[in-house]
Amino acid sequence: MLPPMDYRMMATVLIVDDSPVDRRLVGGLLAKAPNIEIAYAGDGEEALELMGKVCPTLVLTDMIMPNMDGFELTAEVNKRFPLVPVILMTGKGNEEIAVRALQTGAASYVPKSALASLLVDTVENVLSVAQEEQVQGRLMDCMTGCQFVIENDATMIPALIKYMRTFIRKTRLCDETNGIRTCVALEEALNNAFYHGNLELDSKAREGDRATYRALVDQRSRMNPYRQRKIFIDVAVTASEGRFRIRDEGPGFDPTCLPDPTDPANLEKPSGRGLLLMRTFMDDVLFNQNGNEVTLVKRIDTTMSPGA
Amino acid sequence: MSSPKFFRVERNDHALIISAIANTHGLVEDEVRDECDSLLEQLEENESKHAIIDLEALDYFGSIMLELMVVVWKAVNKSGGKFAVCGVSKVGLEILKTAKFDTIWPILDTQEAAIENVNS
Repeated sequence: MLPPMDYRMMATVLIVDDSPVDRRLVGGLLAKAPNIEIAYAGDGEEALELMGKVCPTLVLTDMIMPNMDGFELTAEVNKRFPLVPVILMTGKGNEEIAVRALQTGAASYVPKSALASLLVDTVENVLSVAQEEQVQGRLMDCMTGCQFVIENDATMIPALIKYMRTFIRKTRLCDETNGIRTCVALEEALNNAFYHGNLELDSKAREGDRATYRALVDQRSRMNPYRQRKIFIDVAVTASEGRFRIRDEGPGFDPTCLPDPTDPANLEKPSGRGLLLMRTFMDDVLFNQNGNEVTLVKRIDTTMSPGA
Repeated sequence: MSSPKFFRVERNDHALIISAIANTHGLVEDEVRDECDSLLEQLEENESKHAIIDLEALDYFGSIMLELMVVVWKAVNKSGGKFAVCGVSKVGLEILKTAKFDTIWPILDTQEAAIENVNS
């Protein structure tokens, strides 16, 4: 592996192209830019093999190549090296391909016909963003967890989920899809803590008149002791797992008493779906004895790479 | 009722198309419930027989959205209409399957396919 990169140190650009002539041409253009070292690979598979040994700061790839094309390489780099941006070199003037490149996850693209005028600027722009993110990523590597004590206010929940999504991405706990799954589970746990824990609202109440239920939410949100209660979130990331502990100050509940929401007889009822999603998307869901604290466990995805 | 934050509503012949809006601040349960009431009113006012929920803009959702979909589905069912869901993300589909809603709701790739489904 390369040593941890200093923000001001050299950046390594991996040029991937099956044509030796094009590789030399692109390498020659980039050689004019300061603080850039260049590495080469002949196709996507070779690039990934190389990245497993020495991780570049940026990948610059041709689109049409044998074995693995530029789109496939972009998707694979995004999955395995999420902090390494990819720039695609596209055929001349094909906007459709450029759009597809960005949708695939490329950070940018350069038409091959305009390499001389656009390549260096594009690479430097993407590098400046990537280096900042990589420094942030290294900082997040030093983070082993976080804690929040939030007011009993439902509008805080989406903000916290947004933060946690970034936290999961930056700590590379899991890939993007599993990060979304984890956030689904966290959101359910936080909503449970707010509505059913601190406000002590039975989910059966949601089966009745919606206006009555909303009035009750509103009333309890303003009334003591419900109003004064808080939600405690404790996140710990180790080498093997992420552990999200969420505790409310309500009297707790017995999770075994919830109906099976997938039973056809219960499909229309709102009870139990949140816990079902938590159990589906997390590796472990553990309640304390009182039932007012849930710990959601996500094991580290070992296919994730440190990235840079 | 303030302006809608979570759903955009359009009418297509006999169907009300309810499209989730990408909301960077996430879904707040109370606010979703408020909009849900408005959706039901629009179903009645527009005399729409069918309803389509388009989730294209969301990369995921949770039990709040599921509950809203159940409410709309029940309202449509009551008046003999059809209900369909479209534009579901990978994780969204997992959520629908986990809750077994894929067994009772048609889940289509596109809004056009959903319109064709409810009008068939």
